[in-house]
Amino acid sequence: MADYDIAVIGGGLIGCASAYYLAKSGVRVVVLERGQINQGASGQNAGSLHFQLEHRLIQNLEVQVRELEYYVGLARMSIALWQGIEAELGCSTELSMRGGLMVAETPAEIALLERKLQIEQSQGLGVELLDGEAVRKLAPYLSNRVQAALYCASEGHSNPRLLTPAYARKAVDLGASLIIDATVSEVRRAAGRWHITFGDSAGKRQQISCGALLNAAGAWAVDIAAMARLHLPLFPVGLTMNATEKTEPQIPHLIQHVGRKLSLKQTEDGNLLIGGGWRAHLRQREGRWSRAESPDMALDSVIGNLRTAAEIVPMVSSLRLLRTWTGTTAITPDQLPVLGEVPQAPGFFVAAGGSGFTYGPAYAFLMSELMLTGTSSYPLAPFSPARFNGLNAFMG
Amino acid sequence: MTQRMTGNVERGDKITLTVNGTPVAAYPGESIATVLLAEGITTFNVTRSGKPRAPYCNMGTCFECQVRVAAPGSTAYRWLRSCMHPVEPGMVIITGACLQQSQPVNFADDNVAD
Repeated sequence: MADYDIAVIGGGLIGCASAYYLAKSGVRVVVLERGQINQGASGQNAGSLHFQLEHRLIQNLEVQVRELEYYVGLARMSIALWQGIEAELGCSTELSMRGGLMVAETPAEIALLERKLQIEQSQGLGVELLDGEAVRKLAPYLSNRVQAALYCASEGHSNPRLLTPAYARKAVDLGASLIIDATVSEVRRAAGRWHITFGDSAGKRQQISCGALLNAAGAWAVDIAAMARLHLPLFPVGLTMNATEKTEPQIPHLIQHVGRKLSLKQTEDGNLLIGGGWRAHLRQREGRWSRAESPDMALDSVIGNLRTAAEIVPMVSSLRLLRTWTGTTAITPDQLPVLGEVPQAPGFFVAAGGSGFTYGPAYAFLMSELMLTGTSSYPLAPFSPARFNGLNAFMG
Repeated sequence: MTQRMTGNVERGDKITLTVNGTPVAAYPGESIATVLLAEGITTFNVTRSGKPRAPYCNMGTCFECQVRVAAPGSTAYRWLRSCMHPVEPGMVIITGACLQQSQPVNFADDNVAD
């Protein structure tokens, strides 16, 4: 049986980046991935770098002010990480940080931008409220419907197809083991160590032991927790993304909407990527959500998403839709990430819960610190699984 | 070398358009791609890294055959899939350009129906 200091379950962005930061610190780390690297949400998402508080996070803004303040702090840390990421990884991730605009169309939406601005500025995030005229001067491709926008100069995008493989390669270079087609079937704690059983690519049963494990299995993290007799409140959701044909470079920014579901950006190749949280239908098998299959496309999502995009960026209506894809991510009851050690299960760490592309590198960096030293250079306590302690009062 | 069929083909009167600054004869109903291939042009556009591209699917799916086109009397160049658009008298075509390095059209000036 192979022994490691730390095992990471899940070869997505958080898993591979954590393996990289852990290997860099000299520990023996293994990544167990049930399919292929970057196969899940890490490779299916929109690739947005959204450092402002996003649409889904401000729906319960007044009851979460403190948590959101900490979240904005994470955004500041993420900005610094992203600025150095291509140098750190030694390759291009098609990184673009040329600014982002969160637009508003109504007085109520402007009021929401102003409230959001207070929280963001109180934590030192570089954001600025622009009126309609100033917005169109900066972004002439925006419609006259836009009455105001919050501008964050650090926002942008990167290519999700490049980032996770880059982290994985660097982790392996530093000595991390990476096992694909590894389906974990048992997670047990015995004699102060964790023992993980998995089926390898030949279907053969394998076992490893480790001092600590990081559950970074995304939508599957619930199943991994269950194997350790723990509840984890993560819920799979299906989302929709659209890509248009290529067009001349004209949208340098990330565009989001404060009151409607929209994210829009232009890739280096010239395609527009359009999303923003439009549902896709998760399939069910025997009354349970299927996460192994792509969610079914919802036509009303595609139409609604493109209509919203065309209303905010009118040139969208002259472009052809090339393709639509769906992906599965997992969210928590309070929309905040779950980052930390489960109190009832010493050595069982979790990092999951959405916005994992923008914040994935920061989550991974901080989790590696937490696992190695018991503390992190930015506080993760507001996002600890301990806030859902009640669920595990009778578990473990 | 690409050639027009001659046997048992009736064509209308020739029209003239401009390709890379040179007058070129074509027949109504031909696609832009047809005319460019008949002229011996093989680089329809180039990628970001400068690699040449030419028609691949010839049915509007692959977007490899795009060229820059301005309507007669217009200076608004627009990227069109050459396989999907019939030639028009006076049309102005530029091949070998790079989409990612070109300027967007001011659509208000643009009158090419697509």
